[in-house]
Amino acid sequence: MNFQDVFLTLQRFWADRECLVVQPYDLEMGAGTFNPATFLRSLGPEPWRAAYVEPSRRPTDGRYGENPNRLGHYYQFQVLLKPSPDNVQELYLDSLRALGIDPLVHDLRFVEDDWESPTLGAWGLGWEVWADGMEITQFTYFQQAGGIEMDPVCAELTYGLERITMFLQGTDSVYDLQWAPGVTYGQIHHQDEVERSKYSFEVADIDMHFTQFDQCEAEGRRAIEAGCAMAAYDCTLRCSHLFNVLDARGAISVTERQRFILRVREMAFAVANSYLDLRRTLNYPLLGEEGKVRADAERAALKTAFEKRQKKALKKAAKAAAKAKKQGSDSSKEVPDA
Amino acid sequence: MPKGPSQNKSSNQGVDAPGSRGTTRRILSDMQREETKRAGMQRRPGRSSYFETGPKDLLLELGTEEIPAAELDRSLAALPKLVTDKLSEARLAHGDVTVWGTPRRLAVRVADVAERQPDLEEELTGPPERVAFADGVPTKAAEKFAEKVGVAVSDLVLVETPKGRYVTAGRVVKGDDADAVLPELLVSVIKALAFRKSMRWAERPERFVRPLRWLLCLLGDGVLELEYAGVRAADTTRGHRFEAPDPVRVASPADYEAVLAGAAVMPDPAARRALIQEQIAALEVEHDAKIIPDDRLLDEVTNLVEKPTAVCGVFDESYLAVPREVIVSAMRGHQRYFAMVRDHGRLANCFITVLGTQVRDLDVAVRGNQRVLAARLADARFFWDEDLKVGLSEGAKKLDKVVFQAKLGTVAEKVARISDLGAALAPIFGADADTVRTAAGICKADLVTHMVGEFPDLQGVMGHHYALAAGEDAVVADAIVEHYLPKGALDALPAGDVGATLSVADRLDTLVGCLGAGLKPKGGGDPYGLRRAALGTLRILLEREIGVSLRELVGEAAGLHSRVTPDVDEAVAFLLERLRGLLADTATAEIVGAVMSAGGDDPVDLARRVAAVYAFGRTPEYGALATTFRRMNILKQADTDVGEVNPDHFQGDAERALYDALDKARDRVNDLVAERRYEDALTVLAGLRPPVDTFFDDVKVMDDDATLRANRLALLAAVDRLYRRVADFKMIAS
Repeated sequence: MNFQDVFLTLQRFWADRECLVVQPYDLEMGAGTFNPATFLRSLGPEPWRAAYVEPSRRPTDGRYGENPNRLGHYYQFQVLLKPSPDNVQELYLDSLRALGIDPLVHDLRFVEDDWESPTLGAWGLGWEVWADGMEITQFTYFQQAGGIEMDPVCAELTYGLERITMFLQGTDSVYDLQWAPGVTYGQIHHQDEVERSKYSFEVADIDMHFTQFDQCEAEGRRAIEAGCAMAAYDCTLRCSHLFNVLDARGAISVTERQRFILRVREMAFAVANSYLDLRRTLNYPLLGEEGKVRADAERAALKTAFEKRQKKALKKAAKAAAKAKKQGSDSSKEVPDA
Repeated sequence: MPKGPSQNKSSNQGVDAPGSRGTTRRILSDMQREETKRAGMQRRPGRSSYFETGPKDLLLELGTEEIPAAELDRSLAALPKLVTDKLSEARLAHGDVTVWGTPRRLAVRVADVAERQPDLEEELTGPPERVAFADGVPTKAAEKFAEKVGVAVSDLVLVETPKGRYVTAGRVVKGDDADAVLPELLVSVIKALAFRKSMRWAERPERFVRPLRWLLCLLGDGVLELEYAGVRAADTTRGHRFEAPDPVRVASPADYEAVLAGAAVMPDPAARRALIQEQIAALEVEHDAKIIPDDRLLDEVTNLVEKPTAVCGVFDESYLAVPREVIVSAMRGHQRYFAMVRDHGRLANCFITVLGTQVRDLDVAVRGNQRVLAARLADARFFWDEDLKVGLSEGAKKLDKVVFQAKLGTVAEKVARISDLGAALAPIFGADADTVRTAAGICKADLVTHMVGEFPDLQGVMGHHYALAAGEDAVVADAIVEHYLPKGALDALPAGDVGATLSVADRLDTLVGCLGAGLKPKGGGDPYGLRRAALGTLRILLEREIGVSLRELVGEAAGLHSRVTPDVDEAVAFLLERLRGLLADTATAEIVGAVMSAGGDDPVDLARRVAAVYAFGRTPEYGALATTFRRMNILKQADTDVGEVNPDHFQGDAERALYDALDKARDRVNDLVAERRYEDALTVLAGLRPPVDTFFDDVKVMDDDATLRANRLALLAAVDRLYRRVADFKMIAS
């Protein structure tokens, strides 16, 4: 199966299962989770099912085109299902069958992997899915995004397209993959990898990246204050990528990393809350769509229940924050960490 | 199979169920039960069949999506007690409890669960007599109570209690049938299962370790009606996800294991573990290599499969040029493979992995796993080669591009500081200052290597390898690994003197600098690991018995910071606070508080004093002395400055005697303290008890005469000062 047939198959498969096939976002991002179709749509009570390819950049993973398995730029196939269907594992396994991966031929396993995106303030529980020891998918039940509790909970499936195709084609190098008949992945992307790796590790102007980070952060704050959540989210994505380049360039120490991550996270939190406010003002338009029309009463109940839980969560968070503050000033209560 | 009647093991007969306040309950004796039976209260209509009576086995299986290995172990450990506690609470006698678990199921079987709860005779307490009766006539309150309990007013009984006479009434609460009690009970068991991390799914409010997908619940041959998280119990389970995907019926609890065995599932973890070991042993023979024993990994893989199939794969020998730690870390950490050795412990180019499905052609799965490992090792070798090309000292030069902390500058600056601090500390650690400087210069250089970027847990370990590759001395290479120790509270400390020096220098630098930059940890958060840094420093000083003033250490470290001006007092206080916690583990918090409030900033000295007081506290003399110390609290009433003792103002023998005894003890105590012979000093101090006691008995301290009062307080204060050479005993005694 050609590389392009893998994502075409997955698109068809999920489109046939009531997913919107949406498109990649037009900013650099480290993973499909950062696409608003996942990060923002996962929030709030509205149902949502989407599938898309996301070109993803991880500057630190660049290997000058010399490593057969590592890429600074690669593709993910992302599926978000909200609420998570009860048969979501079966659906996923069917998608593998559609790709020709037979679980009686290959050893498929769901191995614990708690997923967390510190920069997005998101976490979830789930697995990495192994096929003969190769991780081919990240399977996560989101529990929180942007610091906000998921309600309902979504299932996120992230397929590693290159890995799956390598698995299917039995190739040892990503560059040998057949993208389409007669065209290899290497012919399309090898040169990019060489150049991007060189840039991320050797060339990128550190001062410019630090400056831009500060600027994008400030701009994001302004955008939030002006009620432009989407624009603020774009700033968040830019900061995230600038941070990744600085990280690859070795310009941020282990100690400092945490602080930069927190700065991006704060932006993501603000965006998430602001986006959710907006959806609420719009009365959650997607609650009634696509054969998922709920009775008015149920819809209202759902909304109230959601908002009640939301309020409770906020209260709890405020209480925890107050408690943490109080504990911070009372050093005798500090517990030495292991 | 229906069991005959009367096989009840009565394992929990006579256990008191918790009653509500004002209610006492006890289980009826057999004789009383016989009586109620004769009265026709025992059986419900339609339940007279012989075959349905008697105890039955209970089976509950929670079918889930894949449970993490460690959570599965914890749940299986907790489940038996959880179930038996709930059954006892419900007064249901039962036999043995068995649990099973795989990634997709948690199951428990209880043998011989009693058919019904025994009846309960309760005695309920009502209102007090004065409320219940007016002039011997029952009041409204008495009538209401009788009505509530369900007895006639004439059946009320007056009972004497410590709080007075109260009206009581007895009643018999009939036991319920087990099948009526169990559904709710089992749901409460499910809810009580605790996980490190639990989750919600879809629109369900419940939390569980992973989504719950099916419930199998049988009492005897029948399904027990229960529902949790929208899942209804049935008499079916599911076999292996791929090999036996259809629901399979379990006819009775006794069949559980056999039914699953027929569906490619081994529910018993011990059996799976044993089978894996057996399979590994066979592969070891076949491939002439041994696995590196790893019980934790074995436990983990046992819980990753419903039925194991171990296979052996190989990798290209050329990868063995990469350090062993890297290869083992890549195999174990990422892939859960067992690494193997042959020829006297040399790493072998093969591995064992445990498959979860009996796939059609094992070779296909083995080849897949080999390809994955080869990719990881290729990556590791790329890092190794690249890093060697750069070299450690060249890498160290890049550290001026790495920010340690915004306010504290780059890692290169940090390295310069710990080099100076380490050289200054070297003599007290018995290390060579030049060697410390050499090691300090390259101890952080592996942070900019590719390998540590990929395997962060190998920081230090890689520095060690790269240093040796660059021809550095083994002492220097060892110091690089060791300066990261201890990593946690229970972790080993640096063995070498150079490593210990660097470890303390690095930690003090971080601690003093971060506090100086206003980065004090708050609440549970400690992003810069300052508490860990403080504890590590203290543990090294204590273990090596390096007696040194924390103030001097901190002062030395603070002087090297140019970007911030650290507050020495704050850092010393922070260290002492950690020391307090550390020492509390060796004695009591009270003793540590008493010793520390008496002053001192040398951790080793403070530890000795704590140990002496702790040992002294367990001697017979101590008890009597405690009273004496308590009496010293009178000093709290005194002004802060009580002045000097003037023997001319003594009014009686008791004052003079204490004064003389004190005078005599003072020099002895001071000498012993100087020699750090604290236990001996305490013996001398204990000798002061008689004159102190006589003083308190005979002398009125708070005399109306201000001069006498001040003089007596001054005398006591002098006694107190001497005690405080070791500890402020007032704090223990009060």
